[in-house]
Amino acid sequence: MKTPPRLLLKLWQLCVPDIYRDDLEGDMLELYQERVLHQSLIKAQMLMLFDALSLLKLKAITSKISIEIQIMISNYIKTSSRALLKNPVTSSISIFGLALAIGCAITTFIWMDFQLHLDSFHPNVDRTYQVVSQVMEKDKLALHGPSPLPISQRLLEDQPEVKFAVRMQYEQANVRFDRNVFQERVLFADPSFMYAFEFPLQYGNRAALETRGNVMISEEMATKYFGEYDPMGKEMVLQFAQGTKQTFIVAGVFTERPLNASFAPSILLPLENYFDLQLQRDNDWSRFNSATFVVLEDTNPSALEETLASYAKIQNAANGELKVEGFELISLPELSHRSWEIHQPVSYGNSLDGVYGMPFVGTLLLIMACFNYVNVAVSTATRRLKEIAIRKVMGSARQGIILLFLVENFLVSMFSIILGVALCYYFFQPGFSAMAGIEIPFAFSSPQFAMYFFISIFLLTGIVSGAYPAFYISKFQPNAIIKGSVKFGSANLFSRVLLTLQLFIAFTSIIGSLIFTDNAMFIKELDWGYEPDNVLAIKVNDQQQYDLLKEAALNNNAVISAVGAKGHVGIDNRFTVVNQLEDQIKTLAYDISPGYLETLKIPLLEGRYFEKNKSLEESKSMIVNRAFSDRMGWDSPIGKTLTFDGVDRTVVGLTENVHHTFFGYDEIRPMIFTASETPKYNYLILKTEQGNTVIVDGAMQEAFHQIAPDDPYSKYYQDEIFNRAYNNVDSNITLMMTIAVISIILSCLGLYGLLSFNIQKRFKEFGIRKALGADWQHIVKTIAKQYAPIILVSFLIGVPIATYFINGTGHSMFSITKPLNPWTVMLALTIIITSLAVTVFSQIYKATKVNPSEVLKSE
Amino acid sequence: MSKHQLGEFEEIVMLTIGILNEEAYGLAIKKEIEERLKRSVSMGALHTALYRLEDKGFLTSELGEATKVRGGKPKRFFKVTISGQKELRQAMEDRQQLWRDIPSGVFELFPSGK
Repeated sequence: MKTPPRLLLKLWQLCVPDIYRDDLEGDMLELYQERVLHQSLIKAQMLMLFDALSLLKLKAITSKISIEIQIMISNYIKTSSRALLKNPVTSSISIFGLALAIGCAITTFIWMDFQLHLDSFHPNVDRTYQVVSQVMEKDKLALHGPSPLPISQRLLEDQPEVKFAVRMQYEQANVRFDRNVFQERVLFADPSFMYAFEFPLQYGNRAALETRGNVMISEEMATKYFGEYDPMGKEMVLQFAQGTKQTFIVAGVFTERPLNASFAPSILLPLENYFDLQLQRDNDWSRFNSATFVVLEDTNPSALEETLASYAKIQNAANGELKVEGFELISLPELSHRSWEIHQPVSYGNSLDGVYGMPFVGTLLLIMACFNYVNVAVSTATRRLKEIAIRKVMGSARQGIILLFLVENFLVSMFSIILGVALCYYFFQPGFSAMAGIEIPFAFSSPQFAMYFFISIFLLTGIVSGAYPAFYISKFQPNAIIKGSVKFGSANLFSRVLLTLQLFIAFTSIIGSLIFTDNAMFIKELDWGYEPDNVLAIKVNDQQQYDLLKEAALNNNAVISAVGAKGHVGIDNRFTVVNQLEDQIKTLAYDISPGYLETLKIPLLEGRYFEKNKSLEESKSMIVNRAFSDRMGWDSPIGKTLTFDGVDRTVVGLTENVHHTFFGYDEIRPMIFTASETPKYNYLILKTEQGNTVIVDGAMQEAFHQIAPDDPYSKYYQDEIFNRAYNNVDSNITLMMTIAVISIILSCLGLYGLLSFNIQKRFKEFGIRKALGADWQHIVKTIAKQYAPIILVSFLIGVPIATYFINGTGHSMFSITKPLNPWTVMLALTIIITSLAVTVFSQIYKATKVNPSEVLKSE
Repeated sequence: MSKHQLGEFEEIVMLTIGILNEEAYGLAIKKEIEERLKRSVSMGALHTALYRLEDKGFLTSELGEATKVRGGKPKRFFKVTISGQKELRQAMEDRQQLWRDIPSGVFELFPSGK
């Protein structure tokens, strides 16, 4: 059954008269489903909104509000809508500007709300903690996700308030069903996993994990392996890294991964199988498992602190490789936001800076739009001074006038909120979800939050931005207005300050976005250090597979060269430590076949590449990169000797540095290339003819299935390995540009609204000036005198502050920063000045074209 | 002549309720009018009319069964009361009288008068 969005339903309930409440809602639901079926979702929602509004009148008739107030309010609504319609341009600018900002604000707040309520579908979420180990690293305590194996058992024995203690262990495995073979990350866990975390089940029951030979899979896995067949009871064969093969029976399928899950199992196995594989005793304190979670009876974790501290001592006594200083309990709601500070986390999320940063920007935009609105509202109100005076003379109290303005503001805010919700729903929300790479539902975590949010927006836009005109203007004395001694609006200090502030925000955000974008573009164009185009890397599992596959590859006409490597630049980077006297150098090491460096086109600076058919000789040689040579302090590395991997080797070549990770994810590292006599390659690397990589890929997959039917075929297109990082950069660019564009639009709208109003008001003045002989330069000067100082001041304050501030924080956003490009700042300034100038001149042009005989003709 | 004057829309609503007989609830009335008279009826307009007619005593209503399609909400069935029926008949007779009194030949489409 299709139900309308919750928000729309709430709005509906607000509009519906009490007498027909239930049956009308039934009618609406029935109609809504028909409309969704026969028309479209969008149309159904629009029509529903229309129906809701059409019922408002009946609500007013049937509710018990006294008739006088009804008349007064309806009169206010009438005069307000007339006032709005009288200046359609300015009112639509106010509404559109506000709606734009409200749309952004809704999107960012939904995002924040979503991020803050990750994993909230687990009923125990507030009482669930991960036991995280504190490990000393370079005189600093670091957090490690893995915890000693026995800890869960001990906690269950020692602490009665521990309800569940769940051990989790992630492993890689080749998973096979029929002809489908893939490499997967599988999760071993205690049976209590199913009760500590309540991932919803589609088939099977929660007790399934108690049986050793069972496996539970996600819906995604069920489709991947079994297609449309029923997976329950089917056998899956898993081959683990140790080489053991084991058959499991599918005994449970999870429903689709909850959108707000910070982690979810894809293939879940009982933990006992892991112990079988590892031959581990589960009371070995020197062994670690990926994560241990505890669920407590109450929410106070402090009772466990002492016990955990005592475990640290036991752990240290076990004399393992890793000594734990202590343990910290991190609650599940907090866990995903701290994933960045935990080594090997199991749950992923954004840091709190990021979570609160977005709504901050959203609020800033909203404030900008409010300034706009206040400005325009103040100047529009000046036109109605006479109306106010008359109302006062006729006996209206000041409260009445205030109410009149507030009603008008509420009307504007209501329209803006409705339009803003629509903008958010149809544009910002889908756009933002696509950019963030996760699906964010268009909903708040709780109706309360949604209510508070919308009430605050309503109050902010309605009261705060309407208060100034309402309270200020209602104060004027009628006789002063009618006499004409109230001068107000055009020379108002208040609106000038607001405009200055607004332009300041605009300058800051535009310059900021452009600096970020410039930096991101710079990163995008950085050279990788080698040529990744038309290179295909295929994973092989042993030397026999490598030889057979290489033979198949060389038979393919489109393959230019085929080489092997153990570890592969960019895909399989293996660190090792080279001991040089007292110094330990963390180095990347690749064991390659001759021709590897030529295939990747890694430039040679000195010496030579490895030569073919000289394996004995070359097994005592090595090639290093510039970073390695610099680190060793060599002036000319060729001919230097070094013991590596138990062999004395001579350096025969020096290569340029290459990027093994995406720019900024890791620094350039020292690299060693060796060519052993008896290699154990795990990658076959093919260079194909331009544009033929996909065809070669297909042919190789066919060949691979013949050679190794039990192993998954995994391949990488070398030029695509950084695609995710590039997409991230692209998303950042889009996000920054969107913010900049919206703030430009807002400030132009504000300026336009204010100008068009004030200039129109002065048409008579311009008419007289022209009639008395003023030329257009004079008119331009008159207007410029009023607005140039505002733009200039905000420019002079905004630009230096923005440049300074954003240049300072750049390092926290990008790990590679480029020096500030003066052209970027110039470009930012040109964009903003041009758009402001176009806005201003379109109005000034109108003023210069004033025909005195027309504007002065009649009243 | 009665005190109340039935509006055109009110009359249509009451007649439609008559047509629908046992099945006259909000949405059905709306659809029936839209289908027969090819004009769109907003929920607000329809329910305002229903409320007014009920207030005047021309209609009565009672809640019916709840169904799943309606999110567990009941239907409200309307019936035309005796005084409503009198009102309708009055309206019809008034119209007929008006028709009858048009001299023959005035409307070219209906040369025989009625």
